[in-house]
Amino acid sequence: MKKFLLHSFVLLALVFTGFAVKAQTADEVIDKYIAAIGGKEKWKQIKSIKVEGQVEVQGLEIPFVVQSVNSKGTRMDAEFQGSKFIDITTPAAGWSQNPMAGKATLQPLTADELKEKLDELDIQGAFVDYKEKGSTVESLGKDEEDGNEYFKIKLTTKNQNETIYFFDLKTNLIYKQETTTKQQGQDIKVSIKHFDYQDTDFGVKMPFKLDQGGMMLVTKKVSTNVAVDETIFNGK
Amino acid sequence: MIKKCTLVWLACICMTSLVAQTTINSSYFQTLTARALGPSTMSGRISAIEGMAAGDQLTLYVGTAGGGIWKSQNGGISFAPIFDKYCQSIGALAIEKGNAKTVYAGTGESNMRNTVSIGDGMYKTTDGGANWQKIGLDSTEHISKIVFDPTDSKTLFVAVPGPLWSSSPHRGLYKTTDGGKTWKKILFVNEETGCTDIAINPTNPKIMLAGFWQFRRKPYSFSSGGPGSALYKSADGGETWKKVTNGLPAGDLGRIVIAINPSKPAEVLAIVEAKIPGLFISKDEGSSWEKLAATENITARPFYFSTLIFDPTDAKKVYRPAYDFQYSKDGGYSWSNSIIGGVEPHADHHALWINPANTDIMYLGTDGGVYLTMNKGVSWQFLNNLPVGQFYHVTTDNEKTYNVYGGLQDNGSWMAPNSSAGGVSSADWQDINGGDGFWVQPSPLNSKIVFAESQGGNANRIDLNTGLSSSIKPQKVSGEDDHRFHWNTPIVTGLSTKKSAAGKPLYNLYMANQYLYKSTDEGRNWRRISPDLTTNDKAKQKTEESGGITGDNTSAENHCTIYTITQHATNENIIWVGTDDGNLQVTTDGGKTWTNKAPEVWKAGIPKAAWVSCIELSSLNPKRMYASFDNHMYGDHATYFAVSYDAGNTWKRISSPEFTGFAHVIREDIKNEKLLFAGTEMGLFISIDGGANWMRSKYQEMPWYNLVRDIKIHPQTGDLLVASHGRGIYIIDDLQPLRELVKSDVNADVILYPVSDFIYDYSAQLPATGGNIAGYTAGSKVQLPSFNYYLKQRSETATKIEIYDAANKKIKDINGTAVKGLNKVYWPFNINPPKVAKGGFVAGSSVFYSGLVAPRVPVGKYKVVLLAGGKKYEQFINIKANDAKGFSAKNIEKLYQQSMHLYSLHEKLAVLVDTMDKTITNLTKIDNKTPANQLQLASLDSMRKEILELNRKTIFFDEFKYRRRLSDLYLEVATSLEPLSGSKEGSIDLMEKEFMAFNNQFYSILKRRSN
Repeated sequence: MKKFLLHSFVLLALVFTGFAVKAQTADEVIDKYIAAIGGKEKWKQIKSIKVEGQVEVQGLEIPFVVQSVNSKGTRMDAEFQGSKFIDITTPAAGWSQNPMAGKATLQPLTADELKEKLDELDIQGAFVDYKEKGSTVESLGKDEEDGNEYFKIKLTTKNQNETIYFFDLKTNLIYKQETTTKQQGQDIKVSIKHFDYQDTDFGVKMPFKLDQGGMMLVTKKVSTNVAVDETIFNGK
Repeated sequence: MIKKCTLVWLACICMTSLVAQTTINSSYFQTLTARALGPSTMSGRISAIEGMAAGDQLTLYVGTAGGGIWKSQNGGISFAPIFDKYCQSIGALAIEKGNAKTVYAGTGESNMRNTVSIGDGMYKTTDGGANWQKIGLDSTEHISKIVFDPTDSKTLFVAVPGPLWSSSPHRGLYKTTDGGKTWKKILFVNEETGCTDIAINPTNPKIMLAGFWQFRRKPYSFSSGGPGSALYKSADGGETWKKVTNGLPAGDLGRIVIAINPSKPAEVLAIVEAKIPGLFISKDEGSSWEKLAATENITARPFYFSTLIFDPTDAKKVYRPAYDFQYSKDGGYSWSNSIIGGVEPHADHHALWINPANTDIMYLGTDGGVYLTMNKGVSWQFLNNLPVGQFYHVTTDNEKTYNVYGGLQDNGSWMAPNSSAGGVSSADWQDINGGDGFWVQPSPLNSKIVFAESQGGNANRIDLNTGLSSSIKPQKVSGEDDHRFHWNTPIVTGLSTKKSAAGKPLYNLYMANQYLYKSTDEGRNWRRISPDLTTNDKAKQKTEESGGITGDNTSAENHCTIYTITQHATNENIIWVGTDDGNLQVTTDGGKTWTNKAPEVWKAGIPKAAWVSCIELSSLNPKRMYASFDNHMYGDHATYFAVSYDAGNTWKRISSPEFTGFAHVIREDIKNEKLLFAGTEMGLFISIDGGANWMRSKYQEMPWYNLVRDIKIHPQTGDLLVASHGRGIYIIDDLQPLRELVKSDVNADVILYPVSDFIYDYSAQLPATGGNIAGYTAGSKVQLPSFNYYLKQRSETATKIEIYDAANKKIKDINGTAVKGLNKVYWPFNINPPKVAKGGFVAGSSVFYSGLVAPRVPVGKYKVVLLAGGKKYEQFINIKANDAKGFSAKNIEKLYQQSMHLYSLHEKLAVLVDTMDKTITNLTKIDNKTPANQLQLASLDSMRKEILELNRKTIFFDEFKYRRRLSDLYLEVATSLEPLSGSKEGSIDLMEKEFMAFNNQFYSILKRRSN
């Protein structure tokens, strides 16, 4: 009896410590994440993508379309009450149009603005082959956020943009990302929460809702490897 | 046998998984967000300032006595807290050379006053404060300085004075050579003596000077200095040390402050506490010293003032921030404290940062916030943006918009409305008493009469009508011992059933020294209603001998005093009193007889001499009471709370693995007896099961380790008020959602709670504080209907709220939150906004805003639907009229109808314009246009120009076409609080007629086409 109890305790102890204590490295967390979102090979097959959706805020719906060709260009078009909002990024230049911010027509981005947008040209997943892409990661360990424990990883891309990602170790998916951007030389922190992960027709998993401080970016349709006319990336 | 065992085990394992209960922790009420009221107007004690000018940013890190670390990227124009998950008492900061993102923080302030908090070691950030790692020295309690080796950014020295209230082996000078991964203690004197200052020669870093200080506080005395205190010198980078005595005073020394002249490193200044203290200069790198002529202004209060700083570039310029701001232009031989222009900085200075890129610019940390000079300290400006006040207590009155009152460390007593138009600004706070502030009590019968005090029981009655203040302090009369008023003397009010001779209702006012006093005439006359209720231990009453080698007797060490008083809410004959020497006394006959219940508390494991910091009598059960006890003055940081279920006859200790910090306060909710709140030196704790389990408040937008000195629940509003000793006042508006949670089945996946009725009202807009004097401004109370729901787990999909009217038509969509536990969503009691006609440039015009603004709903019952996890949950809300404020059902309905009339014109116009646009597109596509086609096109084009503002290209050009005029009127009506009167109502009909004319015109043009 005693022997059996002891045995059971040891077994139980082994089981529980096995779950609880094993420390994870950043790469383990990243590998599990990539597996959870469809796997590296699948993501590397994405050459172009078209995302249609709308921004939802307080009952307003602002439709948008994002069209991207991997490493060549990405363009977002949105319309609100007839005013057109456009963002274009290419490796060499970028433009934006925002009538609300005094840009009635497409205006070129400054070098600093462009630097922060260049990573958007990578549509094959920021963590897929991140080393080959010239990015580095740093583990910031576990932290409690919004009542759950997350594993924090800082990704620094070759363009020297830093983003801190919060990985949910239960789902292996990203819950939140935090970026510090520069506006007029001052650091501004932007945080985006990822909701509603869904499998696309192409077979990768993406968050279909992104919450940026109460403003919800809702994806309605994702078309992968569709033809995208690259002249739309010409900002003139 | 084995089989049976296996079954038992299996059963156990299965049961564990089957009955896995949802364990509520504080993340389950994240939406119970506190409003941080601040204010910044008197700010609080600053213990460290470090900065760096690089690129377009002037970065400042400000460490505070109890409010964590604040960062500014713009030289102090604005600040944000960056240390809210950690210990809030900051002793020292250091920024890595050339890298403003790598910062080391030593917790535990070392300005060793009676109320100083404690730290838990060193922290480091490499990303400017977004993330911190704890890097050791956990048991040091107080850290006074962090210094880099000027040649190696991975090598740092940390001066650790160590614990104030106990002996400790953790004192001394520490060194790391790997950026804080490992530490070595390189100089230790003894368990009573710690390192308080360290200076490194900038050109020869092997030469170092360290000040060691022997010091100890007891609850009733302070001792600064002793044989352990000394100045030490090393010439080999800290490997070996030699005591320096040549030229320094003989006999026991106290605290020593050192400053090496960066422009002339052989020259060193030191302030040395001794029987005859002095400022000393060395010209041989600290080996020998001669005394300079400095006066008491330079050497006073060594335990509190330990800053001496040379200008980084000017060898003659040296600064001594202390009681006031002293500066020398001749290397320390003569000093001035003249202030010319600007404001005089708050007294008591602890930190100074000089911008090396422009040494005219300096930032000074005081007991009352941060000051900025642009002329080397001759003129100063206050930075009114750091809400780090150190409140001791908080109270409220019963005004409709109730006022908040409280006293602060070295910053007097203040009051402010809890909510104010445009937010509670720093200018909303009013100073009502001087000195250090503690208890403030408004009269329960007339809130224009307020009682407030400064240290040692110097209490006043303040008449807010006349603006005059009179002393009410009880005075010694024949037969009494000398009075011993505590530093933080209790002033308490209690309701009374008695009436004055003239028939007016009375209330009781209490104050205490070692005796308890009661007044029924606002402190004019006092009746002593107790004998000495303390232990009256004469050995603990020698405050005149306090201070150590430098005398310091400011009532801070007064002991054997009454520290807390609580009168029963409904039986004024029951009064409880707690003393700072461990007595817990009760009378049930209004003070005729007293019983000391302390021995009963000791049986529950409370240490004998622990200060009784709070006594809480349940308002829901006459037998139940709680108390908190603080034993940290004996070196014991344990959290002591206790509960009695038999009116104080027997006690049981309340413990929790969550608790840290010594205990200041415990409160029971006034509506739900399961709901308890407790405050310690290291956090706010909440129990929803009557004290069996506790959770740390982490998600109420206040620091996780907030120094919670007092808690109050407002009886009418159910608001929870927290007095923080370092972050001002916090208010959690309305505990109702938490009360609902206490009653909930927390194992349910989703609960949409019943919705409270909403009585039509709006937040006050006016009068508001002028923006330029607002300073730090807290949010106002939100005056909107709210929907509270519970999610067992964070929803992976977004949640949504939909509102339906009586005809079951959906009128409003609201994005919900999806956090674990309680969620709270506000509804601006309106419908979705109208669809507005498209075309042209509309930014910044009323056309644009028409598409955002929606009419508010009329009085009635509305269905609320929560969409969560693929399911629907329903409740109803009643929107009610508010006749007293002029929001009658009839007026609201009329306003709604008028708004909706214009709303529908907007939507009809949108359809018309859309149809027109499509028609134009189709006509344009026709290759061979007939003359009729061309005429149609021309007609439609000119009609379009009459409807839409197509000439508008910028926000500074107003063009008034029909859509713009409709939008102007729509906004006027939809945002109004009352309907258009009969004399104005015709404007709506006019809009309708115009629309009909356009509509007819369009169809007649179309007809022409078909003809």
